[in-house]
Amino acid sequence: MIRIHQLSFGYKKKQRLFEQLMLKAPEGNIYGLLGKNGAGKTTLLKLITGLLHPKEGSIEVLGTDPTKRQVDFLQDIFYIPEEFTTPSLSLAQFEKAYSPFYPKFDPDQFQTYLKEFNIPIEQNMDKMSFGQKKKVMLSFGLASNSRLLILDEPTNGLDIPSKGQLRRVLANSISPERTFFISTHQVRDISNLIDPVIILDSGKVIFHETIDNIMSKLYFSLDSQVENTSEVIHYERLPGGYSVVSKNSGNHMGGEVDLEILFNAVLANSQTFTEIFSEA
Amino acid sequence: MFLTAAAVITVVFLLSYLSNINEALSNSRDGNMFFHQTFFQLLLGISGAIISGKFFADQLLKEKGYSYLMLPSTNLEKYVSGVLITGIGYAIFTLLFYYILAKVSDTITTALVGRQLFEPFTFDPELVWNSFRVYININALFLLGGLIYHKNPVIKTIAVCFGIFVGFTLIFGLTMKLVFWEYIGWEDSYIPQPTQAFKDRLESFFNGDLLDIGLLLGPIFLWVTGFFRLKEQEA
Repeated sequence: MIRIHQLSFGYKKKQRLFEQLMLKAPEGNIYGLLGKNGAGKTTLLKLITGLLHPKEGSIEVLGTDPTKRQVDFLQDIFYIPEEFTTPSLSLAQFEKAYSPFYPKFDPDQFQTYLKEFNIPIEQNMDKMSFGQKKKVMLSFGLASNSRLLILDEPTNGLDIPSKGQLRRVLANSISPERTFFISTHQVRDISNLIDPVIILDSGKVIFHETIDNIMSKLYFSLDSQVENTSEVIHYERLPGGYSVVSKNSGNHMGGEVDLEILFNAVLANSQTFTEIFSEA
Repeated sequence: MFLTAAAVITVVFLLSYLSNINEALSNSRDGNMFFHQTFFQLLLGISGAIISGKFFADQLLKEKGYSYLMLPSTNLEKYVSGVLITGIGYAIFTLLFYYILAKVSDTITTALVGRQLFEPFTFDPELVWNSFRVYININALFLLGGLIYHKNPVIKTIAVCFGIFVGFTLIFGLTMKLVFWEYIGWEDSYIPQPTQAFKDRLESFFNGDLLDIGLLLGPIFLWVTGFFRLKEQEA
């Protein structure tokens, strides 16, 4: 699906944002791309979509080179950036104008998604709020049935109920043939949705693991006190206690991954995490 | 885009018409027979440069660029659509629109003044061919400008062309002065006969064959460059 090999990229000649970046992302998953502001999440998405061209290395998406922007490739990929403009059209006009470009577009699905997001169908797009426009684009992207849906900060501009709707819709739309690639720095908004988790820092993928793998190696707990043992990898003070990430020595089954503390823990202890996850 | 263009053409047309009424009333009709020809060419060139310059520039502006580049169609289709809409399409649109506007205004002025103020605008094949030939060059140039400069593409394209022209003239002038001056024999106001003949030949070549070749090859070169620029475009 996505194969990035020794990718180097920078907006300035001598200042590289990515150096020898490697990534393999098979289809059928909802990938969560996490990173601090300026880590290069949007840039990586643009490189995957072919909107930016690598300086060195190669990118293969859906079996082709995205920089060539071949029609087959463009029909099978739908990208919703963080900020976008929409044409001044009604939803019906928008559908009529853009759907012929996507051969797998399903008008019934589009209507269903719009209904699910509570979008007023008769309203003109330039009269809609940013959140509503985002939901229209999401509905269209999902109804296009493209194999790769790329979302950059999809929860920005969405109210609290809409974030729940988004998670629900995305979770219900994933299939073995499709892949969703979601970039965000608001990790709580997409918790329980993404699997695997990819963390980007200093121009490299420093963490790329499935939720199952994370659960088998790590244990997340809320404790009133932190025991100073070798099992504890990272902890953060919370009102009334501590959020702790420890090594899972096999005693803890189940539980949930706290993405926020995982993210902070990986950034603070990337070497430790590399060692833990490289163990058989 | 075409609605805006139509509105601009109408306003400019009316203003120019009004400013020429006095002159038209005091002079004979023969004196104004070239009004429509000149004005049509000027209008097509100026408005066409703006339309052509803004076509790709608007599509590729920061938050719009992604949707245009990711639209499932080939780079060639995208580029050719731009050429057809802003090139031939816009030239035909302007010609028809100008024709209708000229007819309407002639009818109105005849009713008001008792006679037409200008020679009627006709589809003179030579006028149409020459106007379109020059316009296609303008179109190709500003389309390329719009692909390079996404902000203020028209002004920047004009500035670059001006810069190239000045630079070329300087190089040409200096080369003539430093290398060929003695050979050609141009000294002050004295121009010997053989040199005059050479000068005439040069002048006719520049005005005739070279101009024709330039008008033919110019847009092809600019279109090809523009296509490759679009192909390499990032957002």
